Amino acid sequence: MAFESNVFINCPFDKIYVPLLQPLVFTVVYLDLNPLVSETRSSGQVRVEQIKKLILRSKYSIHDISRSEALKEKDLPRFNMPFEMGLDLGCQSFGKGKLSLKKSLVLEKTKYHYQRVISDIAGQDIESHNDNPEELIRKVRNWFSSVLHSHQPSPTLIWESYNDFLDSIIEQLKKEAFSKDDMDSLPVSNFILLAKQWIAHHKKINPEKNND
Amino acid sequence: MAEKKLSRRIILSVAETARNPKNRLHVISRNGKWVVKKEGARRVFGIYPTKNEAIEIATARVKAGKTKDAIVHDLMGQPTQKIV
Repeated sequence: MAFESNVFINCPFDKIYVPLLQPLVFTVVYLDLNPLVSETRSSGQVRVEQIKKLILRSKYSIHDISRSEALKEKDLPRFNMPFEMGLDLGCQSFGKGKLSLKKSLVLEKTKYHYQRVISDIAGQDIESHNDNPEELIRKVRNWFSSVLHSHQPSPTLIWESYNDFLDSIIEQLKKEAFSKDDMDSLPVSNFILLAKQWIAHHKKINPEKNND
Repeated sequence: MAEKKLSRRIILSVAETARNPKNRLHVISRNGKWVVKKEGARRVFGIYPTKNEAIEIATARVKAGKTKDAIVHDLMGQPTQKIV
């Protein structure tokens, strides 16, 4: 897919984040964009090299730093998302040609939380989602509406379509003997494929009702 | 645990459900309220202040035979209850 359609998704991939990752990916696909995620389990240099390639291929990026805090007491906070965000912002600042046109959205859980953890990003497009998928869809949709300078399907339409979609995949996967654990651990790439196919069919039966 | 991946056949069978929406209602949260809508449709039957009220409406329609069943979703969009 073209640079102009690619969206680098930088967010946690653990089970706790799945209820936010899925609507995020669904929204990007619904807006006719192509989400790119790094699913490699490799650590260190291999993963960083893959992240760099995805950053170079994507005009847009979404960085969710809401999990940049210790999950349990006495745990250390996780810095992978802010590090990868830094790579992307650096690419925007120092890149030439189309790279200088890159745009990023930063997501956090609560408003101004970033000021306590990474205040240097003040001035970027930052939105909070309060761990609420409906709100996340609204914020992501509205941001793309502004950077794409075009009308997009309403947040409500995307949210309700997402609910229909979830019901469909769960019902179908149950018929295929997928357990709940199987579904929860479905590779993101598989979820993206499901979303792309379902949304393409869904828009065919609702052709004139998908734009504001 | 090894991940179970999807075959192309399964992906296409899921996609087909979008082309053929079921005669089913969905109870979905919306901006702090709850709506009842038909699968695949944009129009909602109504907007209700509480989830229980929306479930009552959906249940009534199922019992009246106007729809096959209804799915109640939680705040994360996950289907949690089926009304038949």
